[in-house]
Amino acid sequence: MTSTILDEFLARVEERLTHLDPTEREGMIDEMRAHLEAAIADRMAADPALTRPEATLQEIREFGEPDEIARARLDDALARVPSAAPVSPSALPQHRSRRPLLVALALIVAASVGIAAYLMQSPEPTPPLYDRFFQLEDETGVVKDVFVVSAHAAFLTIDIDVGLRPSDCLSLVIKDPAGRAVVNESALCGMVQREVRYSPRADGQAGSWSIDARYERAGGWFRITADEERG
Amino acid sequence: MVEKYVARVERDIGAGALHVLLLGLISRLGPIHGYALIRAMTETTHGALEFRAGTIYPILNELERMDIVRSARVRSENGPPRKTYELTETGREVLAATARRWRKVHTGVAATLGSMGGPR
Repeated sequence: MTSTILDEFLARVEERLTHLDPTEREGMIDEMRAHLEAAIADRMAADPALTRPEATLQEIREFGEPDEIARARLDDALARVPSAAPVSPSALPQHRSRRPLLVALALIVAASVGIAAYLMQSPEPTPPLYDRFFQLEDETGVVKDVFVVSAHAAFLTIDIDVGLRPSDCLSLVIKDPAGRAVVNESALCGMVQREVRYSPRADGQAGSWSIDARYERAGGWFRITADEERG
Repeated sequence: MVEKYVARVERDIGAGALHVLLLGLISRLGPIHGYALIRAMTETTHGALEFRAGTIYPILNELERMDIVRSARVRSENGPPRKTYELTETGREVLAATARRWRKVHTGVAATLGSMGGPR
């Protein structure tokens, strides 16, 4: 099961690395696999209560979305450099062919340093408001749960990850405190992800949110997390 | 509008800091494999520098193409061979230039923020 989760994830990443030649692509996927295997082992060692599928899922989530990974190109970072910022020629080595890169890297740094130091003093991240993982083994059932969104929440993000067998599905309804179905999925099948974001304060949605998930003879897992940002 | 501006500033800060940190750690710890490098990046910044581990590998690949880092495959005690990274001569020059710039700017910005007595 765990290898399936990992294999499917890496297959999705590989599909998107179209800008690489096959050898490079294969090498990068091997590296990512080695990374994830090591990270899963470390995570399980740090938390023996964690099952392997849970650890795998957590690592995959932290590793990044396939699209995000495929987009991570150096050019993107360099393209964001403001062109008008001055730079002293004497500050850089005099290699003509490398100079644009050096200037770009230096400008990125120049644009960012002070506030980076400030950000590094930010408090440790807090756990999400709601985070539940469900493992299903050919099961039929209903999950009903609630989470409470505070009146101070500026944004609410709900992540839904489903890793069922390709032919298995579940239905999911998440309602806000007024009873409006803000998530209403009649069939989440196979491997799917959803992310939904709300502004509870603007929409008067502080309070108890309800979750209703139903599945029939389903095998695999699903996970629901909700987190609020206060502002 | 303000949120977008803050998000953009934070994104640019992250991009710049990430590249300097990446090169600095490869210089200090290389040859080093990707997982150890990414862990070191997280530990060094205590998680304050937000990045997804998966996005580092394409960047390493491009740095290698530009001859800023070079890689080698080394045997692993338990598992397939692992790829390790170290800086090339060009990479050391890039790091030296960016580090000089970093220190210079950091001194000025830190002094300004310090004198303002602003948020910490």
